[in-house]
Amino acid sequence: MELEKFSYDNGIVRKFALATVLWGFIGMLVGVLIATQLFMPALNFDISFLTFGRIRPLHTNAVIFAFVGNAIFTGVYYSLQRLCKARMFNDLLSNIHFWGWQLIIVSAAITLPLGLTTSKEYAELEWPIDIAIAVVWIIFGINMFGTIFKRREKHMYVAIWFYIATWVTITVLHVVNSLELPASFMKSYPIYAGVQDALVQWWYGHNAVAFFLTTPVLGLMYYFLPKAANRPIYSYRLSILHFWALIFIYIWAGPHHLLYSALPDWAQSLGTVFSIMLIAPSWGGMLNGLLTLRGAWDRVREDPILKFMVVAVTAYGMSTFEGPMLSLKNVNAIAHFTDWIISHVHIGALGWNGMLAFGMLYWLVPKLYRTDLYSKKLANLHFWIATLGIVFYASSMYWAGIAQSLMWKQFDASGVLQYPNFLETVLQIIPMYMIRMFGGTLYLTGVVIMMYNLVKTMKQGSFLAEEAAEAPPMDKKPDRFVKGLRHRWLEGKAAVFTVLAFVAILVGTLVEFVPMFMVKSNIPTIASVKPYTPLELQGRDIYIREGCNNCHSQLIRPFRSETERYGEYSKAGEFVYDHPFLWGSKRTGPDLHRVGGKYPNLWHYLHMENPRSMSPGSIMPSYPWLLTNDLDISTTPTKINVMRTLGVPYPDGYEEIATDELMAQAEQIAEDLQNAGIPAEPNKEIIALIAYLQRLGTDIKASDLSENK
Amino acid sequence: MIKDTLQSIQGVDIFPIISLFLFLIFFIVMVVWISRLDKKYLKEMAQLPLEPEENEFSNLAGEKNEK
Repeated sequence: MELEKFSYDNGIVRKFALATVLWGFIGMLVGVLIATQLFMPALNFDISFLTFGRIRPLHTNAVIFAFVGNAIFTGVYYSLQRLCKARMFNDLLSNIHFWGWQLIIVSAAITLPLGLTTSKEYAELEWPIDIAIAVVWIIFGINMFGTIFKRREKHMYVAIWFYIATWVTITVLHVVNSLELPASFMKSYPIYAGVQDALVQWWYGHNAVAFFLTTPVLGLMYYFLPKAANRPIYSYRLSILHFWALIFIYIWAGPHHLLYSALPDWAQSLGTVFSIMLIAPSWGGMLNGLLTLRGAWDRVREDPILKFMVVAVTAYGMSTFEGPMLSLKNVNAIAHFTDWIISHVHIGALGWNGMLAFGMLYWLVPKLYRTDLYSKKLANLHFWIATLGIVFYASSMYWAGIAQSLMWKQFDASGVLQYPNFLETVLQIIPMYMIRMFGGTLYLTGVVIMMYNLVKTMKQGSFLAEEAAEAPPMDKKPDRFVKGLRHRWLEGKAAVFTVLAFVAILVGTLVEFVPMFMVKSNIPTIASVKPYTPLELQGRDIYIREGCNNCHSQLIRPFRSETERYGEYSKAGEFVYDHPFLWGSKRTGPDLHRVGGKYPNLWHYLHMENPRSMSPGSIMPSYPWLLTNDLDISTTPTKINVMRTLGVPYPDGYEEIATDELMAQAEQIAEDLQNAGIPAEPNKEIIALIAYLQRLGTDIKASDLSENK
Repeated sequence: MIKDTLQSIQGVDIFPIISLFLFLIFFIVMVVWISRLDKKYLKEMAQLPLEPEENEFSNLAGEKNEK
């Protein structure tokens, strides 16, 4: 058969590789900064743009979507062309994808420090950026499927299935979780409220980890690990099972992020059951990776690339075992809201994602530059320094998480909380925060060493932008159809394959969502739960802007240790007007769901100005600008209108009197502060925030509950 | 309250059971399916990423590829 001549586009691979390294460095640098802020609050500099609540989302978004995202695209653009024996579908689309993605990252780096956020974890970006993400993602999809359809190799290797599943699922996740109604340019409210918003968010959050940080990276593993080891994957059979079982089960497990919350029990149990089942395919995949190296372990000792990959795959195995364990209710009761979870995600991020990306880059860059790696020694140094960094990071966070959790739950002999002051439990783990920062710094140092090594490699080689290749055109003859339906048939049909993958993820989604949304009209409304007043609504938006939910939960679990500390546990009916929900996922500070009425206005005022004046030793940032910034009340009528559209029962015409009501309530609070000797003005942001905080959790009193019974 | 929510969905207890069965069926079909796959084909597929390229350079200093 005649060979067709073509060339692989290495230019786009190089672009993504450079972006991976650059954003990796920046994302991790921000990580080290926020880790330091946790024991040195002065490093918030009293500048709003640099406070923990605003740049913690910057860190997570940067490492997930900028570092890992670009690493994925690097690997996809390299491997897809080779596996399809075809150039990328369209060079222009490749470049739009690249620059579009970088532009989105830059806009995130600008808007998040400005406090423009939806507050939903890993989906913080506001609606115009959400739309941009969708457009760029679809362009990536067209480019990828275009390449797959014009491929010269009839069968799609397992890596490509993982890429397809990634694309399909992320599309669904992003669209469903970003359904929001704009109130202005850069401000929107999600269409879901309370419990439903929480379910959708954690369906998204969980599956973003599954289909952005796991499946595409598994695709990279299935391509680059055999490449680096120069031997085929251990069992192709196992990889088929790994793929289908993983994408089918993963999507169901989201509710394990909401155990003991106000989410209905059946949904919680579903999350646990499927999380446990996930161990099987995950470990199948891990073993498949590790066993690929059977008989070649001597090379692992020599080759830093294989070392990186072995640690990556091992970390994948560890965190996919730990995840299901954390979804057991009794383990979750201890681990949730603590640093244990931070440790868990960093085993995944630093171990699995980071190490695999580094291994891939060390393999790829010399290839693209037709040379050898500049220094194997430095790569080995990077490996050890990074591994050590992970050990310091993880062990300190496990210690901190478990120690703090046990302190939260400790009762003394007379039956009262032994550590009633939350701050005491924080001060206890400050040394662990320091060790964590040290571990993170080690890991970042490794990245710097890698940057040097890769730049030197690039300098000594010459870049091959267009790599000539030849292959026969695709054999269009159908496979002989023996033994019924066969996977090889499926691998010849990209479109059918995509539809099946879509169905696999849809089943779990529907079983979770349909009942949740059927319940919509049935969530028992608590008669005393009323919509927020205009001032409280504005205060809530300040709470969101400052990212308070990054450190404070608003969800009291039904444990005696929590009801003793915070008050009555949280009920689903209390959140029906919460667009978005603000349950949070981490308690660096105490829960705030019942903080309303707990302290006088004066306390909040002084505490926001400088938390250490009220709670000596507190690690919360100061918020002096809230005391001086004027509250923007011009947005009030629009916000009321949007909320009403979303189903919050503000009466018709309320938006016209909302501003007056807002001012009246603000003057009351200001007067109270003035009586206490503070020259507070009613038009400042702090007043709105105090109004919101004082409202929190006050809708139901214990007496209301007993009446309802 | 949670009880009320639960009771308000008709036949809610069937959901976890349905999901379990769905998965079991799916899993069994999968296992049967892949156990019947052709060995030669599997071997070919696993070799896909390893096919020789035009520009084979060793990726590490001092170590040359065997090809």
